[in-house]
Amino acid sequence: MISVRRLSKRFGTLEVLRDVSLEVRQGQAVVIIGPSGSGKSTLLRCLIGLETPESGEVHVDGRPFIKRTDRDRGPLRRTREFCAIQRSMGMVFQQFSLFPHLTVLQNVALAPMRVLGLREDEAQARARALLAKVGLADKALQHPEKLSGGQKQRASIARALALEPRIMLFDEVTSALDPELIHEVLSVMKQLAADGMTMVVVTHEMGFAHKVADTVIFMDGGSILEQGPPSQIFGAPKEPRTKAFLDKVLTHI
Amino acid sequence: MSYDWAWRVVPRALPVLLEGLRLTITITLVVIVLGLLLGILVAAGRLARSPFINKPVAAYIEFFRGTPALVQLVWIYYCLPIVLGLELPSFASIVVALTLNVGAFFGESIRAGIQAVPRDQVEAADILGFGYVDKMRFVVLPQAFRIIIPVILSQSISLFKDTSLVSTLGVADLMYQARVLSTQTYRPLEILTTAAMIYFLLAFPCTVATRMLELRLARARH
Repeated sequence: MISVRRLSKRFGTLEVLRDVSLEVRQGQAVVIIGPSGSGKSTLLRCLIGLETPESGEVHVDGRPFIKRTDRDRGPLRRTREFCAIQRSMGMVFQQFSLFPHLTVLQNVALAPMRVLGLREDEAQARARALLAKVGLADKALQHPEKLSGGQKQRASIARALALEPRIMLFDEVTSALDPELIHEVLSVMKQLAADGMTMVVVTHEMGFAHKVADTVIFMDGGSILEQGPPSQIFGAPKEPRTKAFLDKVLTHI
Repeated sequence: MSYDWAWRVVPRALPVLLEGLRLTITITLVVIVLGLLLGILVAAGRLARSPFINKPVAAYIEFFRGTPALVQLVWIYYCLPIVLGLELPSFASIVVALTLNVGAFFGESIRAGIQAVPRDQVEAADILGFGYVDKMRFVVLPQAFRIIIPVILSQSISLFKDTSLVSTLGVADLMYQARVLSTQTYRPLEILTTAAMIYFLLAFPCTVATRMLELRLARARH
């Protein structure tokens, strides 16, 4: 479904991704864990074309999405094909990124109207159905500022789902939330995974990774150090750095 | 100090001053509208990727921000007819000069407002598949306007006052009438004080309204 080949990305002299390769199969939930600064978020942003890698390839559904060599300069070109592949993926950000000047309903209905060309009533019906699905039916006409963090994040999941993406990317979507609001967002994500949505999730929620992931990937220093089913990564990590990281994050519980 | 104020000249001068005010307001409004149109183009040009567009636009902005408005007015009034060989009516020539001046300032304010929209908003619009026009129309500009409008308003108030410069070119605005009346009546202090009051009575409420709007917009954000 997504195939990443030898992706490298630098910010100035800092190598954020080193030759990262990755396969995500249809219906899989892949969870990426690792210390801050390990390149998890950058990998996700490269997958959807928000960052321009120095070199490497990304294929989505067998179609070439990104192909860069060291000779390529400048940002990615937003061709028709690029945009079509890009919007076949949905992404949810840590800081919600809802449009503050629009109601929750408009936030969700705008892209179906303008991008997919749905009529206003069709787009709104779709938006209302999605808001009901994430438990926000009664917040449709509010502006995002009136919502709690957890509600904002669920609204932003609904917005991403409105384009009926084949893949959903989640970039530390619970990191900005108060602890008591985290589970309401995670349960929406669990439901999505149970419905068979292909997902790539960057998170610090090890419980979620353990329960929902088909594959857990451990990243450190811009590389994938280890990947496997959660039972293996959490139960018997092979890499000492994986073990050290898990010891640190799991002792709190 | 024993100046003998003679305010009785004012009632007779007032109709002429107000006639001048009408022209001042006309010039201001015409220049605001044209300046906004130019400013949008300037902002777009400044944000353009191609250096063949953004460099000349930047040069234009710096030129008009870096030279006095009076010099620009006089230059376009006297020199342009010689350089281009075409005679502009004085109203047209001052409108051109002020529009070019204000367009530079408006353009920079609009550009700054657009760039102040958080990056994640643009990214969210990109991955939702919006084209450039829709992204601007539905996501960037509505948020940028909340930042831009107070700035544009306060620059427009400055413009209203700066139009007094056109009096030096014989355009019969409020300031011009005040100067003429000053010499006719030998009462410059009374007349100029009255002119100043007229400017203030219009500008001050606008300043207050702008500040209130600014506060409201700031509260409405997030």
